[in-house]
Amino acid sequence: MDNLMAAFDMFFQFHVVAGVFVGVFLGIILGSIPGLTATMAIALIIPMTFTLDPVVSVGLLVGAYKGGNYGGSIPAILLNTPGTPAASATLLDGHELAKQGKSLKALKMAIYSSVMGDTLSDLVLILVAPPLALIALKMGPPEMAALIFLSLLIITTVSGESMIKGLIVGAIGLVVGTIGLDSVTAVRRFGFGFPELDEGISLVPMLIGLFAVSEFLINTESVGMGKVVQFFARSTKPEDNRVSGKEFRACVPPILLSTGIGTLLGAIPGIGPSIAAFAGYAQAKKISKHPERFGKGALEGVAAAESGNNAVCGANLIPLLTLGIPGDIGAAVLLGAFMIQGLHPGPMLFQENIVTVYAIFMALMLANVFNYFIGIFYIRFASKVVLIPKGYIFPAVLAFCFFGAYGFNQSLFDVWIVVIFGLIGYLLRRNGFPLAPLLIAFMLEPILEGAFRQSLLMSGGSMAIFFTHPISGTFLSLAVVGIVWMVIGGIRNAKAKAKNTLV
Amino acid sequence: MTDSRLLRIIVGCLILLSLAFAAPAFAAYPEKPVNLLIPYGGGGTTDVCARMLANLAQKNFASPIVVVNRPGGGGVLMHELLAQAKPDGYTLGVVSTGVLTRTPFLRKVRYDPEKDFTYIMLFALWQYGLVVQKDAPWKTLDEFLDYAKANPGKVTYSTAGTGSAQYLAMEYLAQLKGIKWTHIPCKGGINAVTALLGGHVTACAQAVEWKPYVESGQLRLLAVLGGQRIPAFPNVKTLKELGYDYEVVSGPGLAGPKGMPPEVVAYVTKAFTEASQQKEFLDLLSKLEMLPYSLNKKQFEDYITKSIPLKRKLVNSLGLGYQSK
Amino acid sequence: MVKFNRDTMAGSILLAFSLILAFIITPDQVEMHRSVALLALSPRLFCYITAGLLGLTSAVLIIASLKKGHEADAHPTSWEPLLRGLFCTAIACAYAALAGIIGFFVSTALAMTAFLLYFGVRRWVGIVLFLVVVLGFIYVLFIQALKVVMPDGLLY
Repeated sequence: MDNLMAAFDMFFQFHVVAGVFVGVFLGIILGSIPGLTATMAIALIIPMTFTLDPVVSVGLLVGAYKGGNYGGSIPAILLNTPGTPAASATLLDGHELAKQGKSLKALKMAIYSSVMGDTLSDLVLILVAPPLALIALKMGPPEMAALIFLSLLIITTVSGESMIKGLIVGAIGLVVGTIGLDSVTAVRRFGFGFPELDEGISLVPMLIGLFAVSEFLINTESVGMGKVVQFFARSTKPEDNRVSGKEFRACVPPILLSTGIGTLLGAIPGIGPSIAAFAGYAQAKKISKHPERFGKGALEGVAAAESGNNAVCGANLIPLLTLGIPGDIGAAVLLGAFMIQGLHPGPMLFQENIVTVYAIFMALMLANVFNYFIGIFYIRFASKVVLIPKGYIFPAVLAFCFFGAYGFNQSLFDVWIVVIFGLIGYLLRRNGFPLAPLLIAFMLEPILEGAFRQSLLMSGGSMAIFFTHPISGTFLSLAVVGIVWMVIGGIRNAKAKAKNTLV
Repeated sequence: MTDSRLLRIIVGCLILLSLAFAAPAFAAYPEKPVNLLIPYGGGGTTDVCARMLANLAQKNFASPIVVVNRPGGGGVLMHELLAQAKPDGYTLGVVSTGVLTRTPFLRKVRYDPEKDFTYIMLFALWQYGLVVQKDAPWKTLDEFLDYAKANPGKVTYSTAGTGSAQYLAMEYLAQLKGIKWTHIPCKGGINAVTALLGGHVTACAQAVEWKPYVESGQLRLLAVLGGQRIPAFPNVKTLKELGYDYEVVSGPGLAGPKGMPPEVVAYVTKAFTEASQQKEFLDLLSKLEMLPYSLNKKQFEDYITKSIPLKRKLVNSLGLGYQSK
Repeated sequence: MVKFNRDTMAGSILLAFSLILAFIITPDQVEMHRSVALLALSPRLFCYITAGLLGLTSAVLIIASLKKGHEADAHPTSWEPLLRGLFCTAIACAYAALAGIIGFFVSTALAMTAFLLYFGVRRWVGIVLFLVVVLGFIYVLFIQALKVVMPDGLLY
């Protein structure tokens, strides 16, 4: 109790609260600009935190981390270009809603579900961090390989209308994921003479190209040549611009489910918010009474995606604070910041610096509050963006994409990655291929491959290791059940279709 | 301990002396901003400590030092850029001993560590150690090695990657003793330590990511792989002290392209050497679990020339690397 | 009569790519290891697995689309929109290439003007205002706040 009081004293000072506020604010703004991400904001804030005291700088950084994660949903909904990788599940339904004139409704739902997912997973972190941290330890290579295999299966099959196209795009993602140094032997793979490729294709430029630039190119087809085109109009009906109590209640089950998934996946290092968002989305679609509405503007889809990716924020801090393992790039940068402040995340942190830990928890909760209020305020302005003619918006988005891609690593090579993946994304979308499986498979390939080959090293080459370990065995049997289910469902669908066409 | 301190004092005096003689020879440099390239992205330990060092060196530097991150290829990209830069002193780089002495044997790179750089100083070291779980039966390194020798193929150990300094140290021991064990490369040092904590491997050779767990008693430190004992664990001996002629020397240094004018080198050396001895910098190093360590120009060059044939032999004998094909 | 529809074409291109990947690019671009004894150690293992998956799924797409072939394409292929998209890709490429040669800001200004004209903006006031606002914002954000170092170009 004394510790708690001391933490209160440490936390509730003007400059600490202001730090959290500024962090959230910067995070939302940077996250909401296509091409810039929260990670970039955090990395660039760090040098400024040298001179600040630990709680202020951690508050600033945690705020930016959370704000950025939420902010990414704004351009995803409005412009069909995710501001951060994690928001790429949000656009599936969010942008459809915007097309129907319900952008404000989608934006509001995104805030509600983000803040709910965030707060719930923070509570999990605060209450049960140490036991959950054990999950991270139990996940050895075979378990990890099985889990990723299962996740890939769940996720690549959700988006888009044609399953085979989803699988093809997933396979392309896996191929792209193999570029870079081999994790086991450290030899080059697909280097083509560019050392820039040794660490693999950078996620952020690839995301920017795939989603934002392809959207740009799609629009160059229809827009232009003489006439200025307005965006979709925003509905003037009040019920299209707010979330009614009934709609909100309908979203609660998917939010809770998705938060649960996000929290569990967040506690396992390496999986990250994007995967959680898609996994939450996939499960919400499964439990929904109207799964056919998903992808066509289901509010539950926005709610599931946003609560899923934000639930990772809190949960990611579980392995970070208890074991010192960062779950994603943002958390890795946070870890560096903690160390500069002389805080060493790990088992001793809770014993030696418990007051600071409590103060960090308070910063997390306060960041959620700020996230809500700043968000509500900010979307009023941000949603006006659609009033500007498309002819102005798209060139500006392209400029931000190029600068954002360059600025992340200060590398022109990354700008070329943007252009190349922009073209790939454009050609795929034109031919009816979904993009999300590519992104997901790309992110999961290195983890899957690393874990798979590590397992084989441990077992001396025997595949039995995946079945003799209970956790991985369970995941794999789930995967097998899933495949059987899918095949039966596919056949049934095909038969139903055949019947329909005959009639 | 006292030896190294004495050495450092002597080195310091030598540097100051050489500076005193060199000082009148230059006036022009620097007349425009100097770019300091960093081989990794923002926010990492190398980035943070290089930025701090640049900040401190700024006090003795007549023009602004601009820190530029050039990540890519595990640091290779920046080393290539540095090797190709104009040797006018306006492009300097934070080099990494690993990228200089090991990477060229693992894959093709467009720089020659022996010919392409003007070495200025090495300013810190990472600390490495070999750890096992607390309830493991081995109390000393020799017990562990004997067990591994007696049980070929049973022992697994994790590191942050194939070709890393700590991996080479472990394989050196294996060759020396005729041990057959399995290396499990992980993505990042913390994951390597977690693999040990979770019981997925027998041992872990890594930089001090294991420190909190050794302090809390969950892991046991068997040996220090570097040349100096780790201050937090003064009772654990180094490989050298245990009778093995090997030490891991790995850390960030400062260098420029080959052919920098001596007066420019002297100017840079003075500013950065002074910066590296300030308390602020030393505090930061200890927060980042790095060892303050300085090699001057001559020592750094010696280290490179001595280290390269050794690493080449080791990498090739392990069947690693593109040259050994 | 089997019609050659878009999916068949996409599938064939991808199938061809996966074959090239497996038989030409992989052996050329992935170094083998002398010490490889275990399959798990081979750096090429996953290159082959992923190329195989791509080939397999593409083949399934081709078969499925051939089966559907008699339904004919709902949307008759028109080349004109695609050409527009590719034209804009070319401008984007020029933008990226120029960024390294004449400087990021100048090339951005040029590319933005080109795209504004393409999108039908004809008022010069609008274009100038747009450039000032966008470039000004980027300058403040990237150069002043984030301290990004721009590539050396001839102009700024």
